[in-house]
Amino acid sequence: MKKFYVQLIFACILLLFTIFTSLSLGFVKIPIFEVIKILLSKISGIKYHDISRIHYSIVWDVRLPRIICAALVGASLSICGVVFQGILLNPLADPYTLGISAGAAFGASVALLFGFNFLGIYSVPFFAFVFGLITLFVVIYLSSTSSGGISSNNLILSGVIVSAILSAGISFCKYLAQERVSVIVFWLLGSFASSTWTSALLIMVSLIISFGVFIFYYRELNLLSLGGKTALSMGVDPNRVRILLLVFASLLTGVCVSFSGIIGFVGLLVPHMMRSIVGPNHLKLLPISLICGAIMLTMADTLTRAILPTEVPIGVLTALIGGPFFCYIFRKKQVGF
Amino acid sequence: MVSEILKVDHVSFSYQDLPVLKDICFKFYPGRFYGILGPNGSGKSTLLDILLGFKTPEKGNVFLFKKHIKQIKKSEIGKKISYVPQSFTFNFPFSVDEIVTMGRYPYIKRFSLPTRRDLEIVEQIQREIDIFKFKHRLITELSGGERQRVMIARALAQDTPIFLLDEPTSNLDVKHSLRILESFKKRVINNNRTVICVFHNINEALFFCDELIFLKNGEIIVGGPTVEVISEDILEQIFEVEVMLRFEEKLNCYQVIFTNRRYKYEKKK
Repeated sequence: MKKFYVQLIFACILLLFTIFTSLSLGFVKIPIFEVIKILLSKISGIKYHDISRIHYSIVWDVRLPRIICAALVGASLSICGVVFQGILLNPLADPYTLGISAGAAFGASVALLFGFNFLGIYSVPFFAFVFGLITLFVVIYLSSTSSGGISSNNLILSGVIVSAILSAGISFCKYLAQERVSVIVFWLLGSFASSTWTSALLIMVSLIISFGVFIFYYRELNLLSLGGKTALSMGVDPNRVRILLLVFASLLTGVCVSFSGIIGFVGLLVPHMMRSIVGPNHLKLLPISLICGAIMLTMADTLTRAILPTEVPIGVLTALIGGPFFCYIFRKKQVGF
Repeated sequence: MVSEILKVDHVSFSYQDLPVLKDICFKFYPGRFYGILGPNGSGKSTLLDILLGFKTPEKGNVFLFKKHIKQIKKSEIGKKISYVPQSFTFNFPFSVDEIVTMGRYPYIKRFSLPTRRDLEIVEQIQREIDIFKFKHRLITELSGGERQRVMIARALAQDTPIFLLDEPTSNLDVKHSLRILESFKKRVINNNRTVICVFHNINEALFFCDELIFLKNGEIIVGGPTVEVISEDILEQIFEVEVMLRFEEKLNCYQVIFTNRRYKYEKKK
């Protein structure tokens, strides 16, 4: 446990370092000391006279909300990945395997296609969120057996089928949209460019609640990896725990997808790497994945925002970096050991 | 008269239209070692699933400590029944130590660390089951028999009044099979535990079990104290092979030899 605390503290320091570096980088370079001063003055209320108003505004109103959102979404997707993998007993599961992301994307496409805006700027997120949740219930319904059990294989299979149908639906939306297709495509690719403090707050609240639930059930998650029957003999109600955790993981995924679009591979890659560092015990795996997921996505977003010559959509970037990296790990696992 | 610890009352179960268990009645008492025997597909594993509360019978009831099993909180089950499955897959690289310690979870408060007593129990069981020497290795790197021993150690660490075992020795060598069954037998005699075990090896069952239950086509053909129910006739009826049953004075139990006289005879003709 001691070793784990060291790892966790190290990860936290790395996260802070990443955030500060990211704040100073961008079109306008702001020295890290000034960044710290700006944050200090905001928090403590002390006025420093040598801070330029423009820098202040860039750091506080533009960069920080975006960075915080990226970190929160990274953290959320990672812990959702941990939970989906733990419940489905499949190290390759992530929010996409169950079709929840596809459902959310379909909802957003429909909203964008018909131009629904009765909820203002929250119309698209709302639709994404609701459709993500509906998809989850459809998938659970499809995979539950007559005796009320849910097997993880059934869940994955139902998820794949539902995803396939929804993907076709998204394609159809794009086809119907014709010249307005760019709006849908842009949304699906994902971006943190339009992040605000409000969205950060909303993701933060969902993250805190879901993380609380996940960590509360860390033992159940550990026991479920021994199989449903064995877990039952150790005092776990497998179906109740599975559904409860699936609902919270889907809620969190829905919130994330609705604000940032589809960002792949974070939920797959981070838990995978963390499991090889801290082991599969969820008491350690969940917190470390939370922090490292935040680091990963903040880095990726900084890369596309400040370092690359043109802004590459974040979803494309994570897939382009994460995909091959995952192939490498996966292949190494097949030939290694 | 001691009261029963687990009671199966007119239980029937079927998969879709295929009946697997038909009107099963049996009472299990503390301090006894029960063996369930029968050919493939006779409903042995399904019966264990029902005893565990994992499957709900279509008809009939299961009572655990006189209470209906559905009325017992799931979190309480962990202190009453432990279960060793017949087969298992591990997708996550837990260490042997972690898995055996999970057996203590029902007694440890959420977020508390195992007490010194928990760790002592875990270590003692690891030595007893002969897995102590590889307790730091990962479960995913072990052989089938080693994994099975780890799962058995986990169940023993749970230290419940009832142990449900589904062919616990199916992957084990002779030495470890005997060692593990002895561990359970010791707990039956000294700690008044109840062991309900599905056997494939009839001689093991005859040596260790106080009572035998013979299942065929979802029905209990006969069930009761080993010496009373065992006979060449019943074994031939259940398993459809010819057997020779003899009493081994040294072991103080019956042992069985399977013969194939009829087959040889027919071949010669």
